[in-house]
Amino acid sequence: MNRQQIGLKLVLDQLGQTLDLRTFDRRLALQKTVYLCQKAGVNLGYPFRWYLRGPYSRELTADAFQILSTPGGLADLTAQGWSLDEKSTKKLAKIRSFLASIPKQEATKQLELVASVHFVIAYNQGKADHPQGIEQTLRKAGKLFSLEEIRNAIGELTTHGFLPKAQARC
Amino acid sequence: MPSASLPPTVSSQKPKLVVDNVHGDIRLTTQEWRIVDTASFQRLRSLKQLQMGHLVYPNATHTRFAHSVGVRAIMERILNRVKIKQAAKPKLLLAALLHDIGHYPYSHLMENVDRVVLTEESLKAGAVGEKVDLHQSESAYPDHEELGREIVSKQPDLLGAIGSQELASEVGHLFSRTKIADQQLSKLIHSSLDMDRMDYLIRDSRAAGVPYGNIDINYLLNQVRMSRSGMLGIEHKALAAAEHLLLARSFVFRVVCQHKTTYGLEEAARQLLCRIRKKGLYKLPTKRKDILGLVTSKQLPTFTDAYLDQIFIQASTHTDAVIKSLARSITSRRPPRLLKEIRAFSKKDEKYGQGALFLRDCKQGLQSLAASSGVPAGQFLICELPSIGFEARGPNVAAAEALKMKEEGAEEMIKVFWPEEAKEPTDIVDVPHSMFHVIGDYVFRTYRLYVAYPEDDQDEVVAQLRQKVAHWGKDS
Repeated sequence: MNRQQIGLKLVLDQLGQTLDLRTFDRRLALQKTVYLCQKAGVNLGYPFRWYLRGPYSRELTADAFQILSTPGGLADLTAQGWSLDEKSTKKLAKIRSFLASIPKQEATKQLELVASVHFVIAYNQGKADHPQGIEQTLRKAGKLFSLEEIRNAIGELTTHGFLPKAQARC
Repeated sequence: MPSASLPPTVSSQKPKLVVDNVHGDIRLTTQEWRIVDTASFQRLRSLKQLQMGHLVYPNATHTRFAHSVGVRAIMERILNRVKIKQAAKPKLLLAALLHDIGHYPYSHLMENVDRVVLTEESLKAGAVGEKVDLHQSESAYPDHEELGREIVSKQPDLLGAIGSQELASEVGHLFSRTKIADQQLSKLIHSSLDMDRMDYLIRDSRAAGVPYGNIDINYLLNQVRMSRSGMLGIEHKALAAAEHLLLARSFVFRVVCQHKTTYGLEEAARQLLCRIRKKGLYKLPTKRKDILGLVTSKQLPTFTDAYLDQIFIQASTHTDAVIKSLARSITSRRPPRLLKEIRAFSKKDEKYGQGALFLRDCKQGLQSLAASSGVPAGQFLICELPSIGFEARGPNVAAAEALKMKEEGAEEMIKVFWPEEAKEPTDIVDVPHSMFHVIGDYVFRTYRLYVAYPEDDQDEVVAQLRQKVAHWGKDS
């Protein structure tokens, strides 16, 4: 495995997640989780682009499949001597608690919502400085989230440090 | 964000002509010509398209400049065939022209330095801890699309030629696909009738002198159709041409990009740059912010292949034996020699047994091989090459799952209007008589072990090493 794939596996281990690409929901959760990690400063180096279901990185998909098909790809890398830097480890502990707070049955929708709202704000798309503007931008892209859902998502993003407080003007 | 408008002069002035060996005459608008004539864009003339491919195929010295103009030409041909908002067309053409503006010297070679695991790191992991630093301020060079966005929105010459900050930002978001466009535009941008691919397949294979990328571009472009919902596909009668496109990509990657000598040189360069960066030598940017600072400064035009060539030359006299050998392999063109290679063609999610054995044997046996041969372990290059596939998914995926997959990367798959009277196109892997219905989810995998040993007794040493590793990857 290359260093980026090793980093990805270490991040998932820190989050207590098993790499599993068998269903769409699991692949979506992986995409949005890694997107949020990167935006929190744990930079795995994957470029994310906008797709129908929000931020998506085909490079991440390719690496995830490569890890699964690599002999020993799912082995414990910490036991082999690899580790993450301390700042990233601390940030991942916070992200882990955020992920744990999402009810399992809502995980797909919630992650999609939070990551999509973040993307609109981070890349300053449309009128990204208020919830109505974000709702309009997302609706134009075919994503129907209510104003209340968007407000809650902004709250979650701010509370868990994915958005700096000054940027969450909504 | 309000829609940015183009400067009023654009459409009123006479277009300029570029004569291209792939697409023939390409007419650029005055605004596009102004962009092309900036130092920031001219830099692309000094970035070779095929990284180190020219060290094997001597004529493969074509550049990102010609490719960028070529992609713009294909975009125009597609836009002429589909119904799309008139106002969006000039922006899409600018996005096509500028899509590679953020490439690093030797393109993906330098961009991927963060992915490198040095040989001794992979050998000693388990005995001594190896740290992966992902903290944002320290880590990871930005990808070339992010650099591209920075360049178009911050380099004064490009900004001036584009006309406004707003338009520059919109174009940057379009080519890096970070723009939340309306669905029709999004489908056009993400279509796997990817203009980038169509251009580089033909251009790269012509320059290299190999026939594998010679796709039927005219027929493909003439058979493009947009459905009522905005989905781009090709007519069923062009199915063979579409299959050829997918096969061509696979062949060009295997024959040209992953050529044993080219890949060996590029891996030596990646490992060399990784070592140089770790030691902080030759002012090679060590951090993300250094790269961002460089590409938004007046130094951008110097950030070309020659920038790395100078570093390779300096490194070829360094006192560290590994750094010196890796650099000399490149500067003296004494490429790393292939000691052993394992190949496989299997399903994307299948594990590959012989590859596993080979990697295991490399990791277990290299230290003693290095000790017995006197060649430092760092000069051995263990390579698990990027797998080469065809499409984002294979056939036989449950219908509900396939529908969902269209909403992730699978929207980039080639789509065919089949049956012929169909109103909406179908993913090529779901056309029962397409060969990709059978092999759509197969990938080529390659594992290699090289040695970078640019000395006069190279042939003898390599012959001995090959003998010693001949049984690696085989069941004992």
